[in-house]
Amino acid sequence: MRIYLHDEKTGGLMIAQCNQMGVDLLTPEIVRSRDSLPEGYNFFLDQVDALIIEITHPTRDIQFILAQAILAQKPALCLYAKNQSPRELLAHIKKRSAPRPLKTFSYTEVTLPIAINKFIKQHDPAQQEHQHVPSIKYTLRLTPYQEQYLAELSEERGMTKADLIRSIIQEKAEVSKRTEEGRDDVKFDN
Amino acid sequence: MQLSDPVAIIAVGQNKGILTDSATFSRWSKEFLELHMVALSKPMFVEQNARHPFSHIQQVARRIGREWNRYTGFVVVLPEQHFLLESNLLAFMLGEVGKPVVVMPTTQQPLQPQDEQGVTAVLFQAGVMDATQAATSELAGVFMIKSARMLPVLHTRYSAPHGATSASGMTWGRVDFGVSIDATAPQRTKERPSVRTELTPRPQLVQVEELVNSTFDQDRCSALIVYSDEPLPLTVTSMLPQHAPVLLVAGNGIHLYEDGRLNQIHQLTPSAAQAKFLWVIGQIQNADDNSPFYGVSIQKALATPVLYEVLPPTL
Repeated sequence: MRIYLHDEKTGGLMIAQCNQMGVDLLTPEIVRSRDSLPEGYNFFLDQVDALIIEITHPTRDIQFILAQAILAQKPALCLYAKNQSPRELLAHIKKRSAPRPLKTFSYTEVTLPIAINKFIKQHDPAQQEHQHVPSIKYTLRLTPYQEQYLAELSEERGMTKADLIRSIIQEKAEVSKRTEEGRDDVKFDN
Repeated sequence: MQLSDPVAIIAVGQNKGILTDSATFSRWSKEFLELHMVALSKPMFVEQNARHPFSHIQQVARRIGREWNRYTGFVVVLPEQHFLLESNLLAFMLGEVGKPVVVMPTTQQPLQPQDEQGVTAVLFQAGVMDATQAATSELAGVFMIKSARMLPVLHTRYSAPHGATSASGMTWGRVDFGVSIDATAPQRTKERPSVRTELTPRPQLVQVEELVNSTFDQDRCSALIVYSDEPLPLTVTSMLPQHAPVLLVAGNGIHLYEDGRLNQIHQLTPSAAQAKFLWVIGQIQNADDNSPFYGVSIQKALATPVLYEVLPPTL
């Protein structure tokens, strides 16, 4: 996954978190250092899958990039320091009705990496696929009663016992995640 | 939020979509919320006039001249049909300019004013935003944006399969997460446009087949441009009107035919040659004693550089 990252405020915290997540980064420094767009690209946003931009003090270039991102429905995470919200820009972003491709988030040093982590996981296909492929071998002893129940239920549902066990765990995990997200500090504004 | 001084967006009327009339265009502009994040902008509208094929370009040039001090830059939306020719005409009419004038075609304009869905509407809006951002930059001159590159119109030509490209290799910058200006590009100055809009009064632009089949009224034209994708033989001159100058734009180059003489035109793109041809005739016909075009032949006027239209010689 390739992300355009624009950060002139956090002293490298954002880039560090993105590097930890293993995403490919395009930064303003890289853009400034080149003479042209890479071969095959006619529009600058086509080079990236998503954007992460620090917007506490937005420049005209940032406003332009975000305007194009809204139009192109390109996912973007717009981060601003807690208690320093760029009100006018946020008002502009929210003029279009939801769902919006741009998510905004007021961050602290603690919540910043969590927000970036969440955004990347939501939009990185590689991370999503990896999470849902059965790849870990597990040995499990059951009681005869449990085994009989499993056999009857799997026949009733037309599934193998292994698939049935995985579906029960998946269901529990998703319910638990929804509950946890409700309690989570990292909730995007929109 | 930081916004630049306002940009004027001048659109030439079409018979469909959001450019049918001034009110529709203004409403579309007002509802284009993303554009308001880029710059303050003022929509302006110019009608096409059936009496003269390029009168709308004259109107655009005069409007830019009148509004010069009020806006930091200008975006001009032109019809697709003669887009590159009209862009070049605008450049000659304005002369040296100290601000950005960004031209773009009406390709892919949305067919319905309220139609925000569909690829075509989004592409046009993205183009308007790119042009508007470029109109707030430190560039100076008349240029277009093609495949994210900013191309001076007087050096731009069409070539398959890429479409518009720079004939000289000259570009002025690119739109790449903002506007990046090349070091050699002309920068903003206090230069105001000279606005010389006189053109030959009754030009005709025809394909060579129309000439061969005599399907247009030669006698009424004041200047003729003949197009052919194939090389034209010398015998074509016997079919040309003798009372009006003719520019031949063909597979074997660009030639001026006047008073029975044929001369090749060098180092101009086809669009720049056509635009300059139409423009210098108007300047010559309206020249007074103080004009640099007073008593000058069309051949000499075409050969004399006016702006930066002369391409470097090919090796």
